[in-house]
Amino acid sequence: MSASVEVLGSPEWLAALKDSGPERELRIEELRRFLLVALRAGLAGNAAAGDAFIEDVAQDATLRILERIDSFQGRSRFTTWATTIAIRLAFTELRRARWRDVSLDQFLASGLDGATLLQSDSPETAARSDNPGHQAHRRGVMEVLQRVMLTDLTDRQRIALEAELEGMNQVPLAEKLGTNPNALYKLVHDARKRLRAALEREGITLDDVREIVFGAS
Amino acid sequence: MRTREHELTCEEVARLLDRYVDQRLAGAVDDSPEMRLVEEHHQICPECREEYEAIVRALRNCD
Repeated sequence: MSASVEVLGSPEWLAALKDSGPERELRIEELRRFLLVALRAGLAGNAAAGDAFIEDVAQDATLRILERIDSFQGRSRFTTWATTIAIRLAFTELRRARWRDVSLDQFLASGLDGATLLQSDSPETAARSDNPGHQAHRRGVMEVLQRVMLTDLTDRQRIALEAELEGMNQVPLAEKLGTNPNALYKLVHDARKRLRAALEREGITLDDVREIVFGAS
Repeated sequence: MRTREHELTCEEVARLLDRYVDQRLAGAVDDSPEMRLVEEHHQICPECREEYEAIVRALRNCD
């Protein structure tokens, strides 16, 4: 029942997959089995991706690939195209599950909300903070950063930027904001542009912020 | 915290990903602007990089 990678995606194999003839069911099962192997290897070491999860994703990915089969243009190998769909589907589900029971309000209130993050010391910055001049500079940058986040960003921009900084993934964050990943990307992109412009107006560069907030040199 | 004027969204990267993966697996060098932007996106987006690495791991196992 298993087919080699060379056979999968060959013109004859693809034709049978698209056809309504008796071989179609065999090709579909070969595809599903290939995806099972690919998903197990790709998600190896991910504790949340157990056998049942991988079986479900392989099944869903098979259906999705069949729906999109006419959009396969041969710019890559078929197996690469199909594996990309399956792995991305798996990560979307894993990230969605991780944040499923967490409300955005709880998330931002419970841990490091944006203001808290900006007030926090990373070990690297703490080690450099013995210098009084550096401390004053850091405090000044923090004050400006907190102020412009409040004055120059919309509520949605600030929430999206803070949640992203805290590590919430795009798909669940978009869902909690009632939008889609593309619109969320634009929201965060615009927020960063506004933030950068506001900071530059105050004579502060993003490199200053990176160094102080994240300890990057 | 990085913002660039010319950068791809995650969805745009996803549309180019299969081609990018095949080129990387083949050791081919494609210096086209599109592929360079995918490379740059992976440097700043841990989620897309995580997906790319999993796809490569999956295909290396199957090849």
